[in-house]
Amino acid sequence: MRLLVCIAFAAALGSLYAGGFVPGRLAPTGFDPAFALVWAIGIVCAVGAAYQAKFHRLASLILLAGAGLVTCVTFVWMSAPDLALTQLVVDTVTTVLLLLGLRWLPKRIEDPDARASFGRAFRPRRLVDLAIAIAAGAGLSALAYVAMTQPVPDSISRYFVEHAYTKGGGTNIVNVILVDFRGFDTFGEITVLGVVALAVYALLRRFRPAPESVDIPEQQRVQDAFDDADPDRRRGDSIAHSMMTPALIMRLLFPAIGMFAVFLLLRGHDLPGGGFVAGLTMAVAFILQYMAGGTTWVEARLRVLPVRWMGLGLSVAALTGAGAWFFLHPFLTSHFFYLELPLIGAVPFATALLFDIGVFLLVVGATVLILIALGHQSVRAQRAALLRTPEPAAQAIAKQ
Amino acid sequence: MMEAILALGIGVLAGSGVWLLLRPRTFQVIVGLSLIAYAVNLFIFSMGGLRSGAPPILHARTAGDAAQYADPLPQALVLTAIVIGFATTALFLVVVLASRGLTGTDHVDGRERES
Repeated sequence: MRLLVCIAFAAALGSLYAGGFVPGRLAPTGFDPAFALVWAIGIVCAVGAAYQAKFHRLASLILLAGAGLVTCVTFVWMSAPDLALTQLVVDTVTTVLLLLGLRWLPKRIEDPDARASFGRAFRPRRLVDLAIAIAAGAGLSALAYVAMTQPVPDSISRYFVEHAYTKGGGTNIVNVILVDFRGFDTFGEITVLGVVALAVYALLRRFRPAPESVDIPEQQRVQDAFDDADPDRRRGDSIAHSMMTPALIMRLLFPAIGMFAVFLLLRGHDLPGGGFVAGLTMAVAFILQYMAGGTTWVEARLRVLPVRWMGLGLSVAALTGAGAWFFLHPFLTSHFFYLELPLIGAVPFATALLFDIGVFLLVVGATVLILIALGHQSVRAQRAALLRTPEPAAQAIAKQ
Repeated sequence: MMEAILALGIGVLAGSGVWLLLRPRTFQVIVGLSLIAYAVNLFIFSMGGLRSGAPPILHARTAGDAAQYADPLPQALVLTAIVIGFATTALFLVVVLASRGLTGTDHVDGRERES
């Protein structure tokens, strides 16, 4: 790993050296203290996440999300509303994902004695790693500064800006690039997303958790003991009572979030939004239901079939692309496609919207499938553990 | 000045990420990869030049003038990168969990160092 990082660093340094290290002459933008403050927070979050990742995983995760939020603010600031939206929702989903994963990792508690001896043994290694990390960071920093201060070369972006409306029929240039000009890329990308979701699902079907993390987590045991001690309470009452208000709000929010997702989807071609962010928002709506009600509650009332969503999404996207063949044009879109296909009225109801709906369906399916598959492990692992040790399990079931 | 701040931020994100990437525990590597993903996304995004108040959304339904808008191309690239980043994180996390279940440790080599 160190070797890989060092080779990558050397390669980058080599190209920087060959190109010459000249900070650009672009007129510097003004200093904004608020932006500096935002990034001060970002830097603290990043370093903190790195520092805490070993013993305080939850803190590290929160700090990681903080760094993500700073990234998101930067996107807003530097006029990239689409990116900010996507980053925000992806961060939410990633945090939920990692939280679900945390349950299956071994506990690691800081031990001062072990730390002292451990520190001596591994200090040289850690120092080398630190040097590599600082060098990599400083190198990327320098590279980014040099690149940012160069005047932007005249790239194919000009073509996209000039033709986004005339050939793609939308005013949100980023979205038009995604679903129209570079539609085939996006098609490949959603396929990748679908494959990843299926791979996650398949891996988790045969998942064998480590023996010591099969047990009911400590918090849940404490709650169960409390509930058992009081004759008026049943198991699960504590969590149900403390979650009552949030759960109610989450349930009521479901239609609102769903509508917001559709809104994002439909406005995507002209204003910030689009299939990806809409799909992720919809997935968040589903996940909130799981958080509020618990896996069994949701699945008794709502049939979410993420694999069908995915299949439908990919088919819609592919059929939209194949539809171009009926007009004797290449698969998906070449920009000529829209010249001859009439736009319906002033509304840019391009076939790109159908394609975006395909993206939306697939993203919902894939995200929900990944998170649900991971969430199911808690239910499944305990059932498996019960089956493996029939004696106490039978008693436990009898008690319930 | 904005460029310097952002460059510094990208550097720190990447540096923290690389440090975590070289650690022996799998969770550290996941967090490290996420940090590097932020840094790289910002880096690619900044290649279009930094501009505030000029989102790439056409004002009128006509051909746009490229000088009026922030560069849309890096934004489109980064948008897909963000989503794929989520997918790879998910896959990596599940592989990590499976490896932990099979080997009984969360060391990246699949076994604790003998020492």
